[in-house]
Amino acid sequence: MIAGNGKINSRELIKKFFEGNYPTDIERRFHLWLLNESNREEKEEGLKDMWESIPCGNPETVKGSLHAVRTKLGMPATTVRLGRRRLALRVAAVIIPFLLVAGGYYLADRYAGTPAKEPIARTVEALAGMKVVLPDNSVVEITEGLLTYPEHFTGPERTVTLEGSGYFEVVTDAGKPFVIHGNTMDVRVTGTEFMFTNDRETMVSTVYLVEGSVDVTAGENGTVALEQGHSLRYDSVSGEITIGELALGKEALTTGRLIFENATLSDIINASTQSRGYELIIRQMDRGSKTYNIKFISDENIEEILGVLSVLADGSFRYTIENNKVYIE
Amino acid sequence: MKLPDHTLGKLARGDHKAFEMVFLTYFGKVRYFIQSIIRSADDAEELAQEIFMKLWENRASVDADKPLGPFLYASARNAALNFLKHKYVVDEYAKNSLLTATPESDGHHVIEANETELLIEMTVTAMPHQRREIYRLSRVAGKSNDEIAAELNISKKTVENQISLALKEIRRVLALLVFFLN
Repeated sequence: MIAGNGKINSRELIKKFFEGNYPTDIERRFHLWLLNESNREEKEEGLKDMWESIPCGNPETVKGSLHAVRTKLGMPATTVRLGRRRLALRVAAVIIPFLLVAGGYYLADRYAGTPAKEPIARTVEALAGMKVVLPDNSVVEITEGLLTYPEHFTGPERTVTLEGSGYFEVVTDAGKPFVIHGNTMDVRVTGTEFMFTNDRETMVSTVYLVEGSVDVTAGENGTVALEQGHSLRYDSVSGEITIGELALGKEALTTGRLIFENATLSDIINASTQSRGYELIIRQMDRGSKTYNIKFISDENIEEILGVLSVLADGSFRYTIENNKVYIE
Repeated sequence: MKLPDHTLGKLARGDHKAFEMVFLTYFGKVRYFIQSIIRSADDAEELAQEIFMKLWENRASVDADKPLGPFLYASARNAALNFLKHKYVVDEYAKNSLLTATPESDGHHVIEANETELLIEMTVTAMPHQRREIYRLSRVAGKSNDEIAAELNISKKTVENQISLALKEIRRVLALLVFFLN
């Protein structure tokens, strides 16, 4: 029996639809609900919320559409001068396809005229927090960037491409490995939970393995088997691979929020540097037994976190940050 | 992303570069919004292009003192909903109980009950595979925890934990309702 005594939150329903991928029958039912005249004001508010939450996006991805519209309108070609930031995006847009070609997959953009080696029927451009249900019912929570995947996994492997970061819950299928092509690193699994991040600015990719096992291929280092409860960090600029113990849970991995209770200073520093994508090198540190209760839940960067910790610990340690590494002494 | 000053004024006067600036700034957002509703990339592309073509054709009526966002939102929303109306032929489905109240019941509650079901379905669909399967075996197929554990070759404790997590997720999205699942 289901009993309701309150008003349905139409805005929540719209938000949930926008954030996920659903089978056709649920899409149909949502559409019919949306078209229905009931709760019109709440639905309007929900749609406005979604509109406001969508960023304007990368101009490079719409140039093909602009060309098509100009042609239809009979407009002459013009050149819109890009600012420095957009120039950086254009340079990145050139570099990234080259990186993806090495993995054998890249974005299919018919307007740019770049042929895809394999047809990619559906592309999901994700907002932070979006959850995608893949054709094999694996789930990806995309925290940042773009996930590309086919409508059906028809080949011997289940392959997706990720530019950015995502938390994966992969359905077990020993006969059909799940492969993620990142900017500089590939991850192959049969069934597990892990976080995968690609930092396009620093060219560092990291896998945080919560459960199961994964094989990681990075640069010329061959394939590395990563064990549960460990992380692997690959710096494609230096070629270095660093494997360490995983100090973070799923919430910290997907939200960046760090909450410590009765934690030692070294544990807090270890988890914080890992969370922010830095390698920790301890030259000298009085580890002590004193514990702290502290939260970092406002998206603080590593400098801010270490600054707070240094004050809390009465200057008992010093730190420097250089080339994606944190040195403690 | 903000348009440079005077862009809308230039657009209204027929400046091609101003139109392109507006297009590069907003097209992706319009297309993404429409696609998120109608779930068809090709149709969303076409609808979004039509919106900007109409914007250019009616450029003389653009108010340079008002932001363009609300106009583009309204255009995108209308385009998506009109597309759906044509797709589903709403009159035919108006006879379906999903949309209308039956004479015997309060129409408001019939609509709400279906929204609840839809929200639950969407929440369940987005769950991890095992949790979703366990929830459906329990609540839809009506199997006991022992039966589910045996069928999936997992422990009863795992079944209980996953059902607990599933109900927690469902309760979270239905935060304003009190409901009892048997």
